[in-house]
Formats: sequence, structure tokens, C-alpha cells
Amino acid sequence: MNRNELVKQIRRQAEKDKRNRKNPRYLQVMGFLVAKGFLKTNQPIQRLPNQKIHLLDAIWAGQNVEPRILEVLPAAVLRLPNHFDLNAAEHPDLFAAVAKLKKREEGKPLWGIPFEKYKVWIHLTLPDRRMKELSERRVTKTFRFTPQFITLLRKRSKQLGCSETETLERALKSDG
Amino acid sequence: MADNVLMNTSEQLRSIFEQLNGRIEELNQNRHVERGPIIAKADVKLLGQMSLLANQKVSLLLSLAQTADLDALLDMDSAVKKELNIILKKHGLIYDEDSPKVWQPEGTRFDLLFDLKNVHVTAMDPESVLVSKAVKAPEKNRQLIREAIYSAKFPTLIDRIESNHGNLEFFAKG
Repeated sequence: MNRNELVKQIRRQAEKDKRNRKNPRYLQVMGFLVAKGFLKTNQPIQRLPNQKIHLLDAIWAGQNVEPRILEVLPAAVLRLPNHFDLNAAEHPDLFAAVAKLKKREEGKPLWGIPFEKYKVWIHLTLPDRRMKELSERRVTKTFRFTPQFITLLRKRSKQLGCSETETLERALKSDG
Repeated sequence: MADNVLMNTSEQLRSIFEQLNGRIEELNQNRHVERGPIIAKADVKLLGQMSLLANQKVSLLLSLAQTADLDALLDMDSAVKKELNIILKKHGLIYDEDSPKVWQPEGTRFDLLFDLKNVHVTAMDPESVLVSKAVKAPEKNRQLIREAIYSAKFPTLIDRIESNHGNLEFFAKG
């Protein structure tokens, strides 16, 4: 193909891309990821923070319209699981990638994107402060204390004006 | 709407670097008290998508999506870089440590964005950003390069992609 023909073909593909950017599948996925702070765009787009996302649509949008969708998708699925229909049988590679991210283990490239490149988004500070990054999330842990210790803990937390958990954290930090 | 988002990106960048400028001022005041050496003016060279979004004309021309990373070459004191990372986090951004690996094609220039007392910020020129993306990361930028070629607003883009051994045929495929 000579250069003129190549440029003509590129222009035809660009027109197809323009149509794809109006596709509802892309608009829903992008509207959701922009609303949640994973992506930004300079295009007019309705923000859809409550949208449920079909992963097939997200993958289509990433492969056909905006490849950056694929880069943030594993972290978005991990951090906002209720918004996605993740299923191990349908999306085994994505399921495995999300599992590795969750366990903080080394994973494999996904859709040609190196693990290191899609891992960084699990640490992103999102505009919705309820969505803490994994390292900041609190984890439930059960201890069995003596009644005397519990009385002491309550008394100390009242003195410090903070929760009992925080009192223990402070004591440990000052000890270490 | 596009204007608003554009304004937000420019405003966000200005806000980030004004905050950094202020923090350097504070650090310098402390050093003055402690009779330590004054921090040199920090230099930031924006690369990649952020430099495209920071350019008003280009941002109106191309459909740009961006992850929350800031690609930039930083020439600054390590204490200043630490401050920058804190400020970026507050803005929902992460500095991309791989930034120095970004390839700059021959003919790249940097245009001034902000020249503050303690921080000098420039951005890579848009056509060179596009050439760099087309040659080194075509998969991730297929649609962006096609749109740039379609716009016919980057007069030497195709020549520069070819002269740097980029594969134009890749962009002609679906």
C-alpha cells in the first residue's frame, strides 16, 4: 500500500473510531471510570458513578475505543467489585489478575499490559474518600483480653479522647 | 464541557505547582534559619498525555483520555520530590517513575507553562508527543494517532513517524 492509500485507510479508521466514541458501551464504561476518578477525559461525558458495568462491554471499549480503560480495569474491579460482573469462568485471566492484586502477589501481564503498569492503580486516591486504597483499609481482628485489661483500655481511651483501637495503635507505635 | 475539563487540567496543574512553589518557599525559610543551603529552582518537564491536555489547541482538537499518572522529567532536590508526591496524591495523581524512559524524538522542544519563583514548568510539544507515542507505544495510542492524522493539524507528524521507523500500516488496521 502506498502512502496516500495508507493515509486514506487511516482516515477511514478514524471515522470508525469517532462512531465508536458514541457507542453506549463506551459511554457507560467511560462515564463510570471518570466518575470514580480512574480516568479523565477532555470530552463531554455523563458521569455514571452508580453504573453496573458488564465486563464484556468494558473490554470491548478498551480494545476498540480507549486502551487506557484496560489499564485501570483490574484495579477498578478489585476496588469496586459490586459494580462489575466478574466471573472466573467467563474472564479467567482478569479473575486471576484481580486475585493476585488482592493478595499483593506478582501477577502476569494482562491484555499486553505489564503487571506493574496496572498494579499502580490500586494505590490511587479516589475522589470518593470512602474508597480507601488497600493499604489504608482496616481489617477486622479478634483478641481475647482479661476484664481488667478491658477496663484499663476503656479508661485510657477516654483519657486520650480516641477509640480503643486507636489507643492500642498509639501504644504499639510509641513502644516500637 | 470540553472547555471546563480543559480549564480543570490547566487549573489543576497550576494549583499543583503553586502549592509546590509554596512548600519550597517554606523549606527554604527553614534552611535559612538553620543556615543550610537554599534549595535550587525545581525544573519540571511534562511529557505524555498530560502535556497534550495542558495544550489548549490540542485539547480542543483531540479526544484525550488520561490515567491518573503524571509523566514528567524532574530535576529537583529529593525533599522537593517528596513534597511533589504528597501534593500529587492530594490531587488524585501518581508520579510515573518510568518517566525518564519516555523517548523524545529528534526535534522535540519544550514550551513554557509556568515560571514560578521556585518551580519552572514546561511541556513537551504536542507533535513530538504524538511521534513518541506512535513509535514507542502504538498499541495504546492507535486511536489517538489516527485522530491526529485525520485532523491534518500536525504537518510533519507522518514524516516524523516514518523517519523514526514507526509503522504507519499499524494505524491503518482496525
